[in-house]
Amino acid sequence: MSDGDYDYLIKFLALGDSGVGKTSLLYQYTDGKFNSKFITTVGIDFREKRVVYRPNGPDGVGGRGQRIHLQLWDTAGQERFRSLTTAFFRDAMGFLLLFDLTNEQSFLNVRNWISQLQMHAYCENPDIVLCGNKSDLEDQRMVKEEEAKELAEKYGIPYFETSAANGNNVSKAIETLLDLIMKRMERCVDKSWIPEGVVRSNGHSSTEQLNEEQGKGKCSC
Amino acid sequence: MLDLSFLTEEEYEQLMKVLQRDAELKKKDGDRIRRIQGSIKDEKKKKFVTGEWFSEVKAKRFQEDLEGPDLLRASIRRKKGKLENEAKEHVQMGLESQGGPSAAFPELAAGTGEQRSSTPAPGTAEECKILPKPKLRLPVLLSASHKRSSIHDVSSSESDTGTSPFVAAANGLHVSRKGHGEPPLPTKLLEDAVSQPSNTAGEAVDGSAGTTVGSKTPPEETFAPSKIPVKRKTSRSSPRSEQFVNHMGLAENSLAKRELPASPKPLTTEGETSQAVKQGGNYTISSMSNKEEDIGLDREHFKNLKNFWEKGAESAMVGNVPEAPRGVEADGRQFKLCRSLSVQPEQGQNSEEKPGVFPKTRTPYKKTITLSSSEEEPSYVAPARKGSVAVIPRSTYTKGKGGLVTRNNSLSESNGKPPVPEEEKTAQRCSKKSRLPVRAPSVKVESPTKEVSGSTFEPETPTDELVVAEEHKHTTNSLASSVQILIEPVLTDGENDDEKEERSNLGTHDNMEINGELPEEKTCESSDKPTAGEPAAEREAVQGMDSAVYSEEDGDHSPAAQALARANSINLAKSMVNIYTTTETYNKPHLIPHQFLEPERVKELSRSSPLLLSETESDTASEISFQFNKHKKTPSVGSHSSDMASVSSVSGSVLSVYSGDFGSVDAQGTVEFALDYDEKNREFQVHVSQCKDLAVVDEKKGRSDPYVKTYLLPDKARMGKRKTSVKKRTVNPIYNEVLRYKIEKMVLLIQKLNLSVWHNDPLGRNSFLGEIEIDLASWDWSNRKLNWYPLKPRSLSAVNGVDHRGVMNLSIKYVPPGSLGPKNPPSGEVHIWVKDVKDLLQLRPSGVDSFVKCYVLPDTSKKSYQKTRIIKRDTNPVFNHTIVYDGFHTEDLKDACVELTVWDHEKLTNHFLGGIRLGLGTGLSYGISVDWMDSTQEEVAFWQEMMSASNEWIEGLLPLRSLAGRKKLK
Repeated sequence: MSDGDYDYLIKFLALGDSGVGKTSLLYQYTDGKFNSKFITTVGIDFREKRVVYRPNGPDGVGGRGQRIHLQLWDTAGQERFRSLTTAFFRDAMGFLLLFDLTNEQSFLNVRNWISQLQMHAYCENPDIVLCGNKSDLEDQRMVKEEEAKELAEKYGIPYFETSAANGNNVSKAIETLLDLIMKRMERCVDKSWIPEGVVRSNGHSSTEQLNEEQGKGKCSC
Repeated sequence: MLDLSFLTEEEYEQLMKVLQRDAELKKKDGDRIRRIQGSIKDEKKKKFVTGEWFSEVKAKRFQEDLEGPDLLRASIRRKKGKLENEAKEHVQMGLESQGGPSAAFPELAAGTGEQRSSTPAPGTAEECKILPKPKLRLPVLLSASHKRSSIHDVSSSESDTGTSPFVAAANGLHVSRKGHGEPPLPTKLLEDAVSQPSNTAGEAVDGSAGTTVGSKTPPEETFAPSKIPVKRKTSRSSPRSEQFVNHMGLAENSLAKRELPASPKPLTTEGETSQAVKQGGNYTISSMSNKEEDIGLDREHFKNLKNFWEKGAESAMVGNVPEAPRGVEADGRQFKLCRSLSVQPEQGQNSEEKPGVFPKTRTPYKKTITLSSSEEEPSYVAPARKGSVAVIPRSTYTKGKGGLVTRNNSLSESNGKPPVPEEEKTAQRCSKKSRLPVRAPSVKVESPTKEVSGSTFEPETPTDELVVAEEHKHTTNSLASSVQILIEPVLTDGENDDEKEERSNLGTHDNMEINGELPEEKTCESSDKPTAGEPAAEREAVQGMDSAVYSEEDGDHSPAAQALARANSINLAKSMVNIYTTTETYNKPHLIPHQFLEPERVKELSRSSPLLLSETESDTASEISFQFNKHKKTPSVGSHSSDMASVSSVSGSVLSVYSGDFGSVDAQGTVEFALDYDEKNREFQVHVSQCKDLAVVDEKKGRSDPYVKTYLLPDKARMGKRKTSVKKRTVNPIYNEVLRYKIEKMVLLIQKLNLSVWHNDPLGRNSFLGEIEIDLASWDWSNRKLNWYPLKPRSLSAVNGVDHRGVMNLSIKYVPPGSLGPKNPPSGEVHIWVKDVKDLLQLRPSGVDSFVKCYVLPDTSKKSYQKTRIIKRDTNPVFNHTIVYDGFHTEDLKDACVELTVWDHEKLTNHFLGGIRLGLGTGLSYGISVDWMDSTQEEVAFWQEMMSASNEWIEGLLPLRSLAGRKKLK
């Protein structure tokens, strides 16, 4: 990763019970690899990935995208690290909340994690994407998709069934979160700033364009 | 603070690596933001790209809480300290005679543990070596340590207990060599005996190290350069010597500021070593005004004198003990320092002189003296300052020196600036004249001074005297600085004079009581008061002289000092002292409580203490601040227990922040309470019903002994705190108690209620369990029902929950060395032009009397301290005050942090209104992680812009915020 030639540094954080696959999911996302061996995370860790974000969607209609540098914080699910990991919640802009589709308890704990987030995140309603992981282990599934969707709806957050093993939905989940963050960013700024003459058509596109152009200028420099 | 005690060493290392990576990423991102900052005109886009939008939102919730990585880093450091402490506690005890103090203060013991670890164990040669490395940055430290050590020797008893800890910490590098050497005074009792062996060992080691070093020992020397400190850090973190690392961790933190300079242990052939040392971290503070410069000269003299004395004492010590090598080392260090400050020809001479003429021990002193006398003095002084500044109260000497140094610098600068008012010029001349005469006497005095000091001080209660002397020095220094500041902004204002008088009164008060024994000083003070009426210019001119004289007289009673005194008008000197005292006084109270002081004295002290205490409270969160203050200030008092001393050193960096909270428990659970205002009795009532699911503090026993405490913010001290009873062994305590405040509703409505839950520890190491804050302005007073509220983690700000504190309008500029011509300026300068502040908080109905304080961290010494005049009754004060700090290498800009704080001045108390920290916000300073390196993105961008555009004024409009971490010094 070359230094600093990106437009945004976006910080996500993955959380959830121990063993649900947070590390694996991030590993799959950043490196496209999977290691089935269970290595517990010590406290916190992070991975990085550079992506291009196109506000109008994957087809890139919007022209040039925003270069995003993702810092993906990985946290230990173990209880003993709880105080340590929660201290990092506040620094993340968005959250990947994982549970294990083959472990019902991890699903039941989702609400606890959400309340933890509400308490420790940068605001009371941070952007969260719920991921039911290990979808490849269909035969061991203990959590129904409907249940999970219901819960996600209750909290108004997107839900994906992911597999760190085969990479299913992994990128999608993270990109969805990224989309949420970019939109929130607009909202946050718009509260305090009224952009001069920029009328936003749907969400962010116009400003994004603006940003893009400026970004280009920078790049060329 | 996080409890990381469960982590294994490997886990720590892993975490540290993660943090390191994170720091790198942050740095990269910082670079990116800096690059694009200027090119983006669209504010909105800027907020996107810089991530500011996020920090703004976050700030609404967490204010300036530490970021996760920083918190973790701090916690890790803390843990490491503990480990080390445990491992080496016994050793340290023996060495420092800390055991005595620790026993005396069981409460502190735990907190101190870390500190202890920081104190360098002289016994191991390795340690000594290692310690120095981290501290390399600040040459001053060395000098400071020397001074301290000398003091210790003289005071003997005091130094042993109280001082030893600091000394160890402060000396860190020199550590065993000089500091240890000092302890073995004949006067000392058991402690001495105990300490001596260790000292001797340390000395021996040191000596070896020193000798080697002196011979230009290689490895350390390599580190010697200013940048070295960073390297050392890395070395620490890396597996060089784990033990060391651990020690280092603590020591570094505490010492980091001071020690850095010391790092170049071996002076070796002075010339070379000195070069290696460089100025590094030395920041000289010079106010723009010429007056200050004058003072600086005087101070230089004083410093020289002080050095002389100190050296004399040290040398004497050395002579007694087979520490000759140490002395040499010390000398070498001093040389280095001098050189580092100013790499000038005179130094070479000095170095030559040392070996040839004087004994090893003396040589260093001579060098210093010579330096001071020569034009180079300022540079030399500067290092001393750093050392003195080091934060340790003990270092009063050093501080004084530091002050001198700063002034010297200012003088030098002023010299560079041709246009000086006639008055000023005259003043300068006077000062110069004074110097010469002073000098000669000082040199002659050397040998006598040693003897004198030993005889006079030691036999009696050394601690008190020493302390007093130190305080005086401090006072003088501080006075000088304060005076300067006051004077700068047109003193003619009636208000200013009043203020001065007030301060002087306070100061005298304290001084009188404390000094007790020193009648001369008292009289001086009284006489001084009248002087206030004198023109500012006179004062200024005199001040330098006076302060110098004063300090000398008080502390040393050296002939040189007397001579100086004669030369100067006593009255003037006195006035200076008074003025200065205001700042110093605050510190004194802490000192007073010490058990070591003689009973009578204690009584005397106690009288004055209450005022001070209250003041300190107001400044910071009561608990935290208190602790912090103690740490910081106690050092000055010799009487302090070793534990305290050690703590203080540590606190300087990170621990201070958390010192009030000895636990590391995450906030959890809820509290149920109701609020009501009783119109009849004009009473605010907090009905505390119960708590649920509180955190467990003692995990082994599964126990917490919680109580609830309330404050009214933003001024905690005003109404004080209220506490419930302690419920034992429960995480679901039921109180049903009403906490009451007699307060007018109108006043109440501009307050915030801070309700916190604490675990009561029998030894006073209470743990924070959670808190909730309620803005009473928006409170629904018709709601008198009990409600449950979630407990939140602590926000580290002294004044929580104040979102808007005003905006400071300022410009900063960096002038790289030599950018204005050959050797102009001789060292890099940071100019800070504080223009005005808008929308200050109004804490009192009567309005805001504000002033701005400035420190360049990591230096918290008096030398680093500058302030503006006070603007009365204006929430939009205009200061137009320029502060210049020199001694900056360009690379120092990355590790330094300019802290500007705005205060509301009340007669006895200053209230914190908000501040900014200009730096890179990396969390690191010279490789040491510090809590105050927490600049916001705006502040970072501002600083970066200055770094990238030298010799240009960079304008900024920065929001004041509450400052976490290092407590604002009064």
